[in-house]
Amino acid sequence: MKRFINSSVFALLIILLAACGTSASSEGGEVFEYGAQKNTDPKIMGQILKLLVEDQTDHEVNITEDMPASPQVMGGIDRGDFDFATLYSGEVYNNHFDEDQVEYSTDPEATLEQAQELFGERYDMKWYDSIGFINQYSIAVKEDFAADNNITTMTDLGEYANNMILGTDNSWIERDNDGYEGYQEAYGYSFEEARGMDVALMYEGIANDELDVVTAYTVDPQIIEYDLKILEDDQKFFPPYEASLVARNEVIDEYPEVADILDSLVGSISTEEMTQMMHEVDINKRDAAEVAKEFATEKGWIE
Amino acid sequence: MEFITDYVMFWQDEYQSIMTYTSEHLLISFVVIVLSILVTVPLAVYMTKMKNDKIKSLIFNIANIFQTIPTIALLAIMIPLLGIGFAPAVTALFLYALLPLLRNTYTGIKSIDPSIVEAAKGMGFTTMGRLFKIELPAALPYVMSGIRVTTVYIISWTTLAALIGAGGLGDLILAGIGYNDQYMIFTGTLLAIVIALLLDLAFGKLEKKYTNA
Amino acid sequence: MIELKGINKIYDDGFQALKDIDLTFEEGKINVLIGPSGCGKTTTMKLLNRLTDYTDGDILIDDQNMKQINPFELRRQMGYVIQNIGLFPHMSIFDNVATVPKLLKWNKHKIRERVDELLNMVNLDPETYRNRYPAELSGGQQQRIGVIRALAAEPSTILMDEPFSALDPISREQLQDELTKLQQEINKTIIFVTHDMDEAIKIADQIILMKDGEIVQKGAPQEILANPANEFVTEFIGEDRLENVLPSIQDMIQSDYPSISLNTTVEQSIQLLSRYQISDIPVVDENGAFNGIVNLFDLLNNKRTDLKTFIHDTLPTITENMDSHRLMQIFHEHKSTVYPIQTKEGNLAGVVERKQLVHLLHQFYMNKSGDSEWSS
Repeated sequence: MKRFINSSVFALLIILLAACGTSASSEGGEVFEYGAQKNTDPKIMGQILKLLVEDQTDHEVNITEDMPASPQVMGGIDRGDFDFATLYSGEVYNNHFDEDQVEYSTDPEATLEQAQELFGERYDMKWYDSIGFINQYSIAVKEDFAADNNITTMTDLGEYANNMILGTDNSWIERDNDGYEGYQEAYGYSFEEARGMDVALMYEGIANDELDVVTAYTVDPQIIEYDLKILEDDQKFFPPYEASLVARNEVIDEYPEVADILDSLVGSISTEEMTQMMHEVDINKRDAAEVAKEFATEKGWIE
Repeated sequence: MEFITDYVMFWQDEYQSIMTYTSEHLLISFVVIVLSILVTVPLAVYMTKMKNDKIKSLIFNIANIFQTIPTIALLAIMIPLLGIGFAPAVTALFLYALLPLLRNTYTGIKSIDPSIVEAAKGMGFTTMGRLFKIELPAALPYVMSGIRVTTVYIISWTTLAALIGAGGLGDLILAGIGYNDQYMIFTGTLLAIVIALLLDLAFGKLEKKYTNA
Repeated sequence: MIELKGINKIYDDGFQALKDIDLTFEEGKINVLIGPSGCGKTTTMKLLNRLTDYTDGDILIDDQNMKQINPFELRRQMGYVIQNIGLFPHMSIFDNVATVPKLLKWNKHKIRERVDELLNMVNLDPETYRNRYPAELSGGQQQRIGVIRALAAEPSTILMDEPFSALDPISREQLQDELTKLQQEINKTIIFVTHDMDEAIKIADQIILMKDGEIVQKGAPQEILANPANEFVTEFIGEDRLENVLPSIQDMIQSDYPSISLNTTVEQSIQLLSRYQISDIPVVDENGAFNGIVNLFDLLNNKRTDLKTFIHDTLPTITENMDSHRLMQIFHEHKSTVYPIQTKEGNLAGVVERKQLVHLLHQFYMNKSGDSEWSS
């Protein structure tokens, strides 16, 4: 009986340790946990981070993919399930804080600062400066349509909007500040119809001319693939979604070698570069780890 | 307490759109249920009369294949054919509903006591008279319970309609996930459950009415 | 009357299910088809309502070739009772019983009367049962409904395919009794399939014993029991059952039993009876015709002189070739020391004595209780 209790306590300890997010790697280092949303850029960032950590230290990184969205990733960090993630500055306006805590702004710096401060404090984590790519909402139409009608800005689109069907993700229509309602106020026009759907299918829809205009995310490779044109946000309506790596303070305090790697990734990948990698993964159906490795080698980050 | 007042506020603010999502959900489910019953029940009846087992299993296999196609893939295939919104959503859900409904109805009719069929034959019913006066009414309780189970499935599957711009409660749930709004997620899920339970209850009542046990 | 003439049935795979069947189903009789499974008994029955077809031969129904009758019409004119009852679960008892009358488009009033009449016939109160559903009835009640459903449209012929075999033994016995009783009222031509020899013996007027698609023997139950045609029949009936068969009346008859003639005086009769040490004696006229019985104590206690006034004839007529089971019944219902047996012409053939019968029954039931064949 005693033995049974001992072994159950032992088993419980293992479970608790695993739940803390770190456990021993085969080389004697730690195994860190990275949580990725279901879009592709956080997955690629996870692979790059994993490559660098495993190349330069004894530690390992385990990636959990397809968390529904950023709030769920943050929940994972809060519980200690995840040690690292890639998050976007504009998320700070996303119902996380009361109106008196956060001040809505479309200025990139103000947005990043608030995200770093507010999230950093709430989840006891470090929100690094931007990796360099931006994945924010924008309005895109087919390139030939834009060329034919001489459309370059979102304001230009107003003339045609009431005959256009907009495809968007499931939440944009419901968003308060940066959603459809705000957009209509800012630009003074509405589309004939606005439909929320899966993002992959949204691109399929515009490619098949079932949709006329979409709320594209700026890094999405489908923009290139389907010859879409991102219109200039001349009213500065959309808040910036600059991508940053985040890490639990506990981890970077204890493992400075890991903190160094995270630091080194600040400002390292442009929107174009990320789009290119995503193109390989989403369109050419290549493995994210492979694409990440290629990129890191090209950059000279690994041998 | 704050939670409750907040939630009441949420309902006040979102009442209109919640009603829209709910009615979209009901409409899609309803069309799918009616359509799949219209196609499946006669097909299942026909299949019970069918002598050729190969064709029978072929039909089941086809229905089964639809089940195995991932939702996004199925919807993506449909965009060039049916576009975005109601039509592809209904079609996809219809294809998903096919197998459970077909299987339930088929086994339902098959499970009629063969002696009932023999008695009817021996009493001088014509083939059609037997089908409509005896076999179908006798199979009705089984068919009804098949429809009942499938309906509950369909209510839940209809949340997938949001993936292709057909709206419904899935839109509310996904919007809640993307926009970090727990109330939306909660409300969408709750309403889908309530609709499923209410329909299950209603079908249960109907079933009881037609089952003279 | 239904006649089968030279019926063969050969399946596509060459299997011959029926071989040259010649058979007449007597009108107003219970005809029992019996035999081991696969013998063709059910097939033979299903030929009659065309649920199965034959390869060659002819079936005549009241001298009309069956193939000239529309099968749906034919079936509506024949009652059909099946083993698993097959009541329609979604219909009330009323609608179940009314099925064929409705198909025949009887008017509503007539149907209603008929259903009530039938329910009463099997002792199910119409008020109580009319609106119930099959699932609310016991198995025995359900098969009663099955039987009256077959009777509903007053068919002249009723086909019964092992109708009682799925019932518990008590319900089975009851329904067998009810069927024989009912048959006395309705006088239908019944074709009854069973594999249960006890059942066949109990209800049949004619037993048709089949094996491998052929008729092995047919006849009244006692005939078959008394004279099995071959070893198969003996085996099928079961040795024990044969041993326990009551001897025929002919075997029991005492032809040397004394009798007196009509013109014997009372005085002479008393002397004769006391000499033989018997209490009852049959009386015959000068031609040997049976007139009745006189009793010794009657003669002693009365001062009348005319023997004729003492003759009583309260016993049912018993003839030589009557079934011994019938004799048992008379034995039970009418107390007498002797049971006179008559020839077909009404002459006295002899008597069966009560004490002899008691002895016989003692033997019979000793065997029966010691033997599982009989008690099953």
